[in-house]
Amino acid sequence: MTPLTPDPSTWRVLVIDDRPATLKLVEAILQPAGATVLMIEDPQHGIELMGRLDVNILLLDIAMPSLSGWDVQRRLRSQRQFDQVPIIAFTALVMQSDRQRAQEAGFDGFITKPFHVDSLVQEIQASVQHFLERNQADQPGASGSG
Amino acid sequence: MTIVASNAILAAVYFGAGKFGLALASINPSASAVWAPTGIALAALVLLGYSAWPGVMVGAFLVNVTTTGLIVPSLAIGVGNTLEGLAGAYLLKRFANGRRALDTPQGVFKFVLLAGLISTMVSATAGVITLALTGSASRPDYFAIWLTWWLGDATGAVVVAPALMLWDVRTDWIFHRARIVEAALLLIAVGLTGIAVVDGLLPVAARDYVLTFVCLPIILWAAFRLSRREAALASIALSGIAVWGTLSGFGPFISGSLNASLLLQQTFMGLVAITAITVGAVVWQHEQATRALQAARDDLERRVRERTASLEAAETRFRTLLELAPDGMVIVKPDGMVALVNAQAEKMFGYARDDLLGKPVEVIIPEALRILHAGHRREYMASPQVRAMGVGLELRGVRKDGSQFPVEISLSPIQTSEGTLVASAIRDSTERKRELQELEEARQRAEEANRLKSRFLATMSHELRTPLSAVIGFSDVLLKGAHGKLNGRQKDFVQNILANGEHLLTLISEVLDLSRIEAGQLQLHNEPFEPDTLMEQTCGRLKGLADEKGLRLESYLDPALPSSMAGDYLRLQQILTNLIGNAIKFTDDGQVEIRMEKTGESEWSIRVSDTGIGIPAEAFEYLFDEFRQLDSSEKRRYQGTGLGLAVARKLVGLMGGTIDVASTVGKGSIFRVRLPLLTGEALVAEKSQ
Repeated sequence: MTPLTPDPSTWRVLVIDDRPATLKLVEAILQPAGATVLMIEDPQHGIELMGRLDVNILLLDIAMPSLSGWDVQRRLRSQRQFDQVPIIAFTALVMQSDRQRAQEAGFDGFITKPFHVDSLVQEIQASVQHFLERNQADQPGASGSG
Repeated sequence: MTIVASNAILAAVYFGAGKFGLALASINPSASAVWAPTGIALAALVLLGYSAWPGVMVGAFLVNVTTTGLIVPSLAIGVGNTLEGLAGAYLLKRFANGRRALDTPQGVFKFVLLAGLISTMVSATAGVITLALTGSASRPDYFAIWLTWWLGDATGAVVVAPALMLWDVRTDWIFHRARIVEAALLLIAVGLTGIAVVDGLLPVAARDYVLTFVCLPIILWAAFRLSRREAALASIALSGIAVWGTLSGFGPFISGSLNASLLLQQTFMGLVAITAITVGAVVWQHEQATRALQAARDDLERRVRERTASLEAAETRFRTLLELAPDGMVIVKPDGMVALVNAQAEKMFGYARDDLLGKPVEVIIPEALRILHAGHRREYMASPQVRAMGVGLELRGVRKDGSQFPVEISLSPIQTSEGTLVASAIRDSTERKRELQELEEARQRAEEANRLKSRFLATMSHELRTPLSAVIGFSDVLLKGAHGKLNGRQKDFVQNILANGEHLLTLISEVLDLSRIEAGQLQLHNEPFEPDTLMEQTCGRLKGLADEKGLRLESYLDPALPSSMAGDYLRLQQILTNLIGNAIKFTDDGQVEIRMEKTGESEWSIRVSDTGIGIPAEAFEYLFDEFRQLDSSEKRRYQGTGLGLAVARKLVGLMGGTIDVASTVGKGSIFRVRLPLLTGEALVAEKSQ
């Protein structure tokens, strides 16, 4: 598995969003940038596939009818196996309170819709960068052995 | 009346009475057993004062000189008569209360002694000496003359003076018909007595004693039934009758000589007169005492009446107040019995007044609380004070029909002679409780509505932004050409899609902002920021827009501004973006200038000026209204949401600042925002507190 870096070509992104248009848009932006994009509409299905798909970034919509992004994130974070996958909220919720809630819940990024082509890539990069730095700080031993 | 006039009258009266007296003189032409002038002189000197002496003097002189023709002796006798009167008046004044001598039995005694017996010796002595010196009397007769003189004067003083002096005493004569009739009867009795004595109507043996028997009853009758004045007058009248009778040779006093008869008779009449004035004084005193008692009683009665009236007035006022009071009032005696209730209390509890009076107050208290209340009542009596009852408790009253209702009660002790009463003002709080509840429900409904509105706005925002994000995103992807190049026309179309999508997005954001500000849900997040960063970032974002229209974008940052300030950076940027965007939008050539300046000790301002079309003054007032764009008829040449200025103004207001505008049509506009100046350090200090 390719190690995750801010370079989009190392990204295997899983996008969970109940709207196909959004999925297609993300794909249309990230693929030209070099990332591998996997898409799924059903969040429940998404959780089940996470392990098998070998993704290293999760772009997660929050307001979904069957299962909210808050729930998905909580379930994934309860499993150690996805510790190395940054989970980025990807939502049209723009209230300050939502941003704060996401931060408290332990999301690794918060990207609001709508977004521009350039800004989406940049924001994911920023989130990844932040995630990597924090992981390194948390696990000094890991960097020593790697 | 002048002294001269009163003296002249006195002299005349004295002269008349003296002439009558001397006409009866037999033992000596100057010594009569009947000498009324002494009484006249005494009364005059007592009532008019010593200044009446010339009247006495002149009267006495004239009487004697016209009788004897001798000037010097007449003068001497006149002096004696005058001194007698003055001595009597002096002694009375000195020892017997003067003109009020006859008011008491003791006074009467002193009067008889001092004015009747002692002072009269002066005249008798002076008279006899004068007669002796002038040889008008022979030595063996001296004592008889002296005695006659003395007794005549004494009787005159005792009989006549009281009748005159008593006229001086104000008597409130009440003219009852019965009284007038009685006075007339008395007069008739006196008259009949006179006729009986003088005309000899009765058999000889009886007629001689008429006077002795009749005098006292008549005198006492007058003294008791009428007044002492009438008694004194009656004694004069009877005295006159007696003189007349004696002169006619009748009556009980006929003895050897006329002089002896008259002396005897006068002495008797003197005693009658003394009796009359003594009894008169007793009766008068009794009357005075009765009257004083009556007056005291009347006064007492009047005061009782007044006091009663004022008490009744106070009571009426109290009752009226009690009935007018909007609250139910129940006044309770120390033993817990109801002493008083007002109409409101009757209505409130459904009892008639009489059903409650004298009953334990606990009847209007729910059964479960009665015993408890009786205990509280006793505690209250131990330390009574004005206070609300059962503070913090839900008090309830019970009506006659057993139904209960919430009440509020305030208690107040009333100190009375019957002990401490407790007045309680009772208010039925059913209505108030209901209103409170309704208010609370309304508040909850409003809160719920507000919550729903917020959720609706958040949902709407989300639901609109999600498809919009696809529109904007895909347009952007197409324009970037990563998925195939567009031709010129296609590119133009996609740009239109993108521009309109973004316009719609701005609109949604601004509607959301406005709603949140109005709902009080928009919170400012103050944080330190650098004003130059704010200026650079904002201008950087809008430079493209200005360049497109060929406008210069000038900026000036006042070096006096602190390098680190505090505020909601994103909201400041929003305000600035709105104002600059607006300026660019309405300016076709020239420039847009942004100045940030320190304008006061704790104030800074953002000034955005342009060289655009300007704003007519009449538009200033609605310039910041929602969905208002000037010149809206002009096919909406200038694209915009119409919300930018409204949002800017609301945000500035939230920050505690103001925004105003100055403009000249055709020349340009200036928007100025004034804001409180908060430094980054101040914010840090504030947060650490």
